[in-house]
Amino acid sequence: MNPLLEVSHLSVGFSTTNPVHGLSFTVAPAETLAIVGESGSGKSLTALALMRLLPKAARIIDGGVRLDGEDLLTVPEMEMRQRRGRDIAMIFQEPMTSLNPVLTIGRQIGEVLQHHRGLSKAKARAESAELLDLVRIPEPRRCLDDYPHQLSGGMRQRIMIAMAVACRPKLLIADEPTTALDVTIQAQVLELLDRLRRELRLGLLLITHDLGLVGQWADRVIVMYAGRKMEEGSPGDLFSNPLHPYSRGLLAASPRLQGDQHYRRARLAEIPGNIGSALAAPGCPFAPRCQLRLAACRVEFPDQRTVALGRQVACHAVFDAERPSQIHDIVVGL
Amino acid sequence: MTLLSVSDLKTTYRAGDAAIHAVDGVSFEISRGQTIGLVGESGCGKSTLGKSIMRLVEPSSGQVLFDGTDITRLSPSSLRRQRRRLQMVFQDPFSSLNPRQTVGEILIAPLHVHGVGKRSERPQAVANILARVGLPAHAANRYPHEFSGGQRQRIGIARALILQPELVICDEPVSALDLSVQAQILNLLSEIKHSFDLSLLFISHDLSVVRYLADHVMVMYLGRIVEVGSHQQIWRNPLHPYTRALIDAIPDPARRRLVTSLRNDTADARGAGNGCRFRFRCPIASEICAQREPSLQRRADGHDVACHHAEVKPA
Repeated sequence: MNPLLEVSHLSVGFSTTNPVHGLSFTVAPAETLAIVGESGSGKSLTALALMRLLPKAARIIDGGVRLDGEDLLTVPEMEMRQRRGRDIAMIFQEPMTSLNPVLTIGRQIGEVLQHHRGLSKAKARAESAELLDLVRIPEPRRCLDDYPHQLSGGMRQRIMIAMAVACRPKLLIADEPTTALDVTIQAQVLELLDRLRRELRLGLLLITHDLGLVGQWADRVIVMYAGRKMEEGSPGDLFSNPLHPYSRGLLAASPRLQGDQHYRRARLAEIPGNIGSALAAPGCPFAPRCQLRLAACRVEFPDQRTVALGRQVACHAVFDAERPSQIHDIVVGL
Repeated sequence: MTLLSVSDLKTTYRAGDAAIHAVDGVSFEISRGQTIGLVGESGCGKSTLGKSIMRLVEPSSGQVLFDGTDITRLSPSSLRRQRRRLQMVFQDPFSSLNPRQTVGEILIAPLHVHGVGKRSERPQAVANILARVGLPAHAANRYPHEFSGGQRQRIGIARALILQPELVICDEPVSALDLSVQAQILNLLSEIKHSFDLSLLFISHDLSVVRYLADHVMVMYLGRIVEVGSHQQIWRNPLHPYTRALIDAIPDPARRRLVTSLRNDTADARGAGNGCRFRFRCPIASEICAQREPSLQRRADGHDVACHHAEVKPA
């Protein structure tokens, strides 16, 4: 199947730094790809680059973004405005700041439909109610006359989702869509996104820091660190058999995924240092924190190597035959 | 031995004509050396409870006995003396440190305020505590903005520890931190708990963090404690439907695309009347839940729960 979205060697730069570096990935129709990373990994900037909504100081230095085979980076800005919402849409972490506080919900969704699809006011209102019903808002007609502050965080995120899918985009980018929500609401919102993915055949790009969420909802996962793709695979492979030392460290450090660990019995595994030490150094950005660091890691970023179907990893140490590590054994065994 | 005993504590905020009962009759105890985890979602009153114990927010009624002294009745000067033994670590390591003071000044201030040690000995105390939380001695000459989030949280912890308190209330101390750094701070809290023989009240919305760090867990919903049990009891045998929902909501790679969500998502105690405030979202609510609010009942195994249907297990 042809990919819906194809990103190749994407690099985003500010004047002195390169917060996204040589990033390549694809999203198939009706597939959920998760990009997982901590703050500073470049995951949100990647999303903004795809939408061509980068902050003024940043620009795309290199690479290509194709949606349904068409190069999105060369589309003129006026036309790109039409594409946003129609072909590719995005929802953000904080649903309160993304909604206009002085306009009713009906007005805000209606505007999207009037602008993109040229519907009349009355038709837009009727269809807005249908959209609210699609995202399972109880009493959709009444909700049209509500203002954002009258709704809970979970409801506001549903409204954002309704607006994002109003024009039936092919790709929906969800940047930390549940981070601001309570855990019991998170599950509802992800359930909704997943249902829309199936029913509308949306490609879903889920950007998150939450490994558990990735494991539960994604078809494939990319682990990013300091602007680079470190590893890619299915959640099943990644969780049962992480290859990159960073992925391994993240999984081990997560109390959520370590089940019965308790402070009276065992320490959590730590990744020493912090991501700040990664900036501007040559070579692999994880090298300063990496326990398996080799001399080569300080010099050159390793190539992405495919170790199995849909499974990639960028790490010198993983393939180091001189120093057989546990990881090396796993790769050889694959 | 009981260090802290809270009974029927209530804290009410006024919002115009409305009164919001953020903490609505909470009772619990912390023994020396014990870590109690307090979990609940935003707006449940868990932070207000922590601040009420410290009297950073004035409780409206109830008792907070700290080592036998009722903190709610102390004069400002006696309260200050007690606060030396009772410290707090905050969520946001960015806004809880004064950006215009060096780390050394931030850490030495509590010693001045409480008149601890000789003036000449205080810099050494600062150096000792920095080493204890894993920061270099020269950190004392730097400003908070020069540190990462994790390092700033270490500074916040150092500030709480420098007075050698007996109880530390940690309000979401790792929520603002990245996963790889979160583990460092959880390990640090665990270490200092042992070496300072601390009791901890650990407040978090994240059950998995509480699961790791707490001996006992309290679950709070809209101002009330709905379940209290040991680590084992809460994880192996959660009794309150809300606790079960919280555990089920932890994203789990083993449950692909399966969720059991609660009904509704509005948490609001108004309109609950005399009934159980969780009933609008509860999967097993019945008539009695609308008539009478269940109180926290202790079972034979010392596991407390406030639910009319605690014995009913959903299919």
